[in-house]
Amino acid sequence: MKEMKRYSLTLTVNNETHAVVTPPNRTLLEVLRDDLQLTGTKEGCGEGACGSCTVLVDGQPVRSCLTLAVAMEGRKITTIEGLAQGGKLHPIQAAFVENHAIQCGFCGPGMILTSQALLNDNPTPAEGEIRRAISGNVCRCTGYAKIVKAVQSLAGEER
Amino acid sequence: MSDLTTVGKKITKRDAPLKVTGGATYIQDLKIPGMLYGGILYGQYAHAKILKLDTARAERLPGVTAVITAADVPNDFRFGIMKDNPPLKGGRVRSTRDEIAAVAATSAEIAAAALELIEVEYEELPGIFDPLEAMKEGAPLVHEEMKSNILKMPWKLVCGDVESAKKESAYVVSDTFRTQWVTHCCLGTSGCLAALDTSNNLTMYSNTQIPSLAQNDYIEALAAFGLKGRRVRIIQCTIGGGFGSKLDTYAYEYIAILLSMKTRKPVKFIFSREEEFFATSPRQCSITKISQGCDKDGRLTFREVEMVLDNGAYTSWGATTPSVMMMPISSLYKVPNIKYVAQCVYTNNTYSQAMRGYGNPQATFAIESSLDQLAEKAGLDPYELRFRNANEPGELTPQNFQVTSCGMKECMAEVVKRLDWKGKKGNGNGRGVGMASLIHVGGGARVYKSDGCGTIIKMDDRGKVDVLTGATEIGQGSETVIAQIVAEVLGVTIDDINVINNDTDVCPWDVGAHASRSTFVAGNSALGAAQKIREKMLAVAAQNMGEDPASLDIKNGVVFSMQDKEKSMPLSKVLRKGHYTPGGKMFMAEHFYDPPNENFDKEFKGNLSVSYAYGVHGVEVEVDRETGQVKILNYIAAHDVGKAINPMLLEGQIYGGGLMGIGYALGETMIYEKGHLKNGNFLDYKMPTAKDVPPVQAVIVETDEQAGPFGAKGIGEPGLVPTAPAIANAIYDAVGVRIRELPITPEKVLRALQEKAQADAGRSGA
Amino acid sequence: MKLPPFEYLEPSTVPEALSMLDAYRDTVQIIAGGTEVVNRLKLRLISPDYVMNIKKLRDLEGIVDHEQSIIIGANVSVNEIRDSSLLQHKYKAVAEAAFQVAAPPLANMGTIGGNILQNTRCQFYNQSEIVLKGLEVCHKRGGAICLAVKGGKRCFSVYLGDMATALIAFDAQCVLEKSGARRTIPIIDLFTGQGTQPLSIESNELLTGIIIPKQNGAYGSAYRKLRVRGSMDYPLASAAAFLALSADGKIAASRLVIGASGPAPRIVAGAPAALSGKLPEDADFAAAAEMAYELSEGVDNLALPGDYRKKMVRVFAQRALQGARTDMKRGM
Ligand SMILES: Cc1cc2nc3c(=O)[nH]c(=O)nc-3n(C[C@H](O)[C@H](O)[C@H](O)COP(=O)(O)OP(=O)(O)OC[C@H]3O[C@@H](n4cnc5c(N)ncnc54)[C@H](O)[C@@H]3O)c2cc1C
Ligand code: SF4
Ligand code: FES
Ligand code: FES
Repeated sequence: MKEMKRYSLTLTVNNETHAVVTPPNRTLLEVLRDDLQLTGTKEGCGEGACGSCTVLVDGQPVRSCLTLAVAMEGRKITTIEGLAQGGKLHPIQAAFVENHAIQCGFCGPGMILTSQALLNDNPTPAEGEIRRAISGNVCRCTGYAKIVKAVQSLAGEER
Repeated sequence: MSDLTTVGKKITKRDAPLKVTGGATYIQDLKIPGMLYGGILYGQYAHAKILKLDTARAERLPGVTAVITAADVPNDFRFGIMKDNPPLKGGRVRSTRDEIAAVAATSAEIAAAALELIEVEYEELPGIFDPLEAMKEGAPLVHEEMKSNILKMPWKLVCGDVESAKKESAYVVSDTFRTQWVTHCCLGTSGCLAALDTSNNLTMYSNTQIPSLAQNDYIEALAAFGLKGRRVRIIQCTIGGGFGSKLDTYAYEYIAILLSMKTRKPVKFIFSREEEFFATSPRQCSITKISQGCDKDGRLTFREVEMVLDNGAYTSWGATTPSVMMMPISSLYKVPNIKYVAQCVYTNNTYSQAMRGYGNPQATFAIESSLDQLAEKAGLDPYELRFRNANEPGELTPQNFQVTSCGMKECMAEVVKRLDWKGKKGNGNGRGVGMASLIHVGGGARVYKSDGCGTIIKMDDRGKVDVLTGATEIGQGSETVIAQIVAEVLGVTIDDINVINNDTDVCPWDVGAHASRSTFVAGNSALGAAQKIREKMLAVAAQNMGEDPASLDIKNGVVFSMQDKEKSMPLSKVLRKGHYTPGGKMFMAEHFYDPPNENFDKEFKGNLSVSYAYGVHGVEVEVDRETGQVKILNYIAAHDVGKAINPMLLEGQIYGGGLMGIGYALGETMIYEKGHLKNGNFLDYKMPTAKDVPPVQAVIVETDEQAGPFGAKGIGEPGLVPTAPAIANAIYDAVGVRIRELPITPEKVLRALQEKAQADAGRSGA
Repeated sequence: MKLPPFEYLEPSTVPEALSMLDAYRDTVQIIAGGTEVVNRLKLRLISPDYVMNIKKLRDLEGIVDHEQSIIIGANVSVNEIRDSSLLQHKYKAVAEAAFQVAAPPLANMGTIGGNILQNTRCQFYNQSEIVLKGLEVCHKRGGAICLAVKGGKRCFSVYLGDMATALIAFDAQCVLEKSGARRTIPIIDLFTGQGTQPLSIESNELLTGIIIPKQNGAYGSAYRKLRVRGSMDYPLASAAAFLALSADGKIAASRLVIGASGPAPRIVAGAPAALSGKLPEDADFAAAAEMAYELSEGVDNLALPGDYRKKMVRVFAQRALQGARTDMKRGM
């Protein structure tokens, strides 16, 4: 195997800075899961087609399986582990629990972060806008009905 | 039972908080000190002789701990129901998913690199990919030691006299329907971690849906590998979706055991999405010839079905799906005369497994499509034909199913009302409506000698409850339903209950999460155990309160007299009384529930389930005549559930099942070309997205099943059973074309429209 | 799936990028949003020595409204294009195409440059190594056969980008820069028409921007796309149409472009002649759509059969023309 240069990176994840040393051919997903032990971010396909690996980069949903970790210096990354504060679920997480938007849960972290990014941009999304926003995240269990309902339950709330 | 406090309520899923915070440990997330990473080399061809297999270069790669091939599998060990599947194939490959070598290495990267260094030479052999071809005399044999490609599994059900019924029928229709391979697409891919301790006892971290049966499989395997009488412990991680995919044991699990034996280290396998697509087992594809008839009043007279199933190169549960197909064939609607034969045929394709519905969707597609054809021939509204023949409570079906509760007619009424059936039917304006019904087992299914499940409940000093159940949680919510039942019986709150369901060292035996049986069987088992503990607690309370146990009740953790609510005692105090009294008592109970259902007899008759679940789906579609695209405008899924223990979870099953059914009907298919899967990824395999969801209304019809826990029946699978025929029937109503092959792609619809236009033109020209 | 080994380059200015491209010519692969190229790397369809991230090049950002044209930086995300009110109003086809690219999160990462410069696709090619190993080596992988078209002497892989098709309807240009040189060419000329090497951009060139000429008078445009699912899917047939009317309401200029029908987007050359001087009516649209049908090569290498996709090019060409007509009314 080719010897590659290793890079020392400083990654800002969930408002904490982490020093990571890695060869350049690693995805953000791999670094989050394997180096930072943030295994809440899931790999469902590794090819950009399921959304399980979604994290927020500067507030926008990004597929970490298609993102090079070395390109993430100086960006603000939020993973599912960064939502709950002080042992209390974030409102979007609570909404997913209350509305039964979680079955096997594998799509959950990506789905929740994508939904939250939508709500950040548009606090009062209509059903169609919600469906469109989450249409890059596949879920095999729920039929999406309860996920849409969970997001709707927060739409229009003052936050 | 109006004053239930927990059962019947929308209780949130117990494991949801852990899942939404990213804290749940799936097999992907598991790491154990010293563990190695496994990788599998698959054969390149669908059918070939292996001329040379050289692992030397792979073995020399630094970081590689072991490389194994068929030569390392002791005693010609094979697994699967027909014992026709060696974990590593030697000499010959029979499908593109055949495992021929495996490595264990210190990292996944090294394992992958090692696989590339294994040198293989093949002599490609002609393959056989069409089951009808494979059945022919003189066809090349998939297993050269067998005389024929047709499996020795003679599925045959005969009830009454089909031949005379046919003659006496006023109307008869016959047609052939085909269904495709579809796959589970669990978002969490397959994986396992096998670890042998110094005494050669195995701990397997697994995703299995059948812990007790898998344990048995591994014990047998260890024995074959020279380790007789060892212990096997199965620890289930959080499971990223099941749907039947984890109902059997797979080659990679045996390979992990072999590698762990060889390396003396824990060995972990995680499938990539590609592997998940081509190396796990899909839903069986089918070719179904069906004839049905009715008399002049529209009463069904007979149903005759012949089926050919592509078994693939090896045998798993897919080959046994005819046992479930028999159910709708014999018992969906009242049909006095039945004949069904099915043959499973070896080919060089992938081999099939169980998938949600277990054969029922394939059979129901043929039955319900054909019923619409019959209605047309008899000049009846398809709804009318269905209603006249609908199943009813108290009926004994030709296959000897004893129908207890049955809400089929109520479901049908809901569909007709909510869809505005009468107003929308037969307008022929590019929009149309269709319906289809389902029957499924709703009270367990005795497919093994036992259909049982055990529960152990123990209580601590403060009224907190540990429930140890054999029932596996695969996302469906069994854990929550069991907690609700126990909370209800013990008079505690849902938060007092802790369910332990993932470790065979402590959890009692269960035959597995299949056949929609968890709520019914595991629920009844939990109910039984909870009742035993309740009695114990009431006895102690009665003694201390000077009351008759029969006059006491428990609610919110307090025991009280039903006559005089002032007389009460906190449950925690009762429990401590038991523990701290000399010669004291422990509050623990076990219960094994095995439903009083029957195994089939030699003729495949018998009351398979204690109760049956029914449902009717209705759909309104719009067909684009230029593109053949089908748009679902309205979708009603009405289900007889007995009693909804948790309406929210139940709706979740209906929505989820429904969308899986829509995928099955309209888009999903595994495209094989000469045994090679062409679309094994999430881009090319069309699993529905949130934008593909029609407006679905889940309608819950409660019929209160006497044998069910608090009246409940199973509902895990039915959601997808009638979807495809309901849609196919609606398309026919909309534009007059009958699609006989799933999935109903726009291309097929357009082709049918063009053929119809030509035929119509020909007719009017003549 | 793991990425193959490579060294990483991250220029912060365009000149720096150009000199790196020059220095590592033929061994460097540009990555912008990464949504296409990372998959090609993971599947080992390419294995460059260097991967150069161009996302730090600020000069490639922004949508600028000039007097004669609109200039879109190569790094502008597909979502920015979708959301640009300027494009929504004046260049509807472009905004409509952006609206239908992949799914919102992917279109948030994906750039216009990367979208235009994506490679062609085929079910016998965009596959993991495990699957490819069992298949014969086809033209696109350096072999001498085609698996999709038996006996095919060339590669029939399909260009599936949405944006180029729409941009070509406006006769958009692109700016290609290399050390010491810069050229502006019509986007249509980026495509060679060859499945094996579908793009004409040189390995030391950087796409820096897209120029859409301004239109005057009454005109309209539309982009229509066939996909199996409502999201995520590449086009299985697509068409973009541009129509401009003269004062008497007759068609003065038109352009019909089809996508997902061969290794390059194609301009339906006969369409302007068929439409010119006529009122924008369905019958004439049908004649132009028929030409689109003739031009497309439906091959069995994507999710739906080739002959069906070919037929759908006709339907979607017609619908794009109708959409352009509707858009025009809105503009008037
Ligand atoms: C699930 C999925 C669905 C998709 N669906 C669609 C779809 O429906 N329609 C569609 O059009 N695309 C689709 N795509 C492809 C892709 O997401 C988009 O085309 C995206 O816009 C590509 O942009 P990018 O910046 O991510 O490109 P990259 O992946 O970064 O680059 C793509 C190519 O362009 C080259 N390149 C990029 N920028 C430059 C530049 N400035 N100069 C020179 N070369 C450059 C790269 O070297 C590479 O060869 C899909 C992808 C996925 C994973
Ligand atoms: S079209 Fe033919 S040559 Fe081109 S990638 Fe596909 S199989 Fe290969
Ligand atoms: S794992 Fe990244 S999109 Fe599926
Ligand atoms: S909950 Fe299982 S995939 Fe969404």
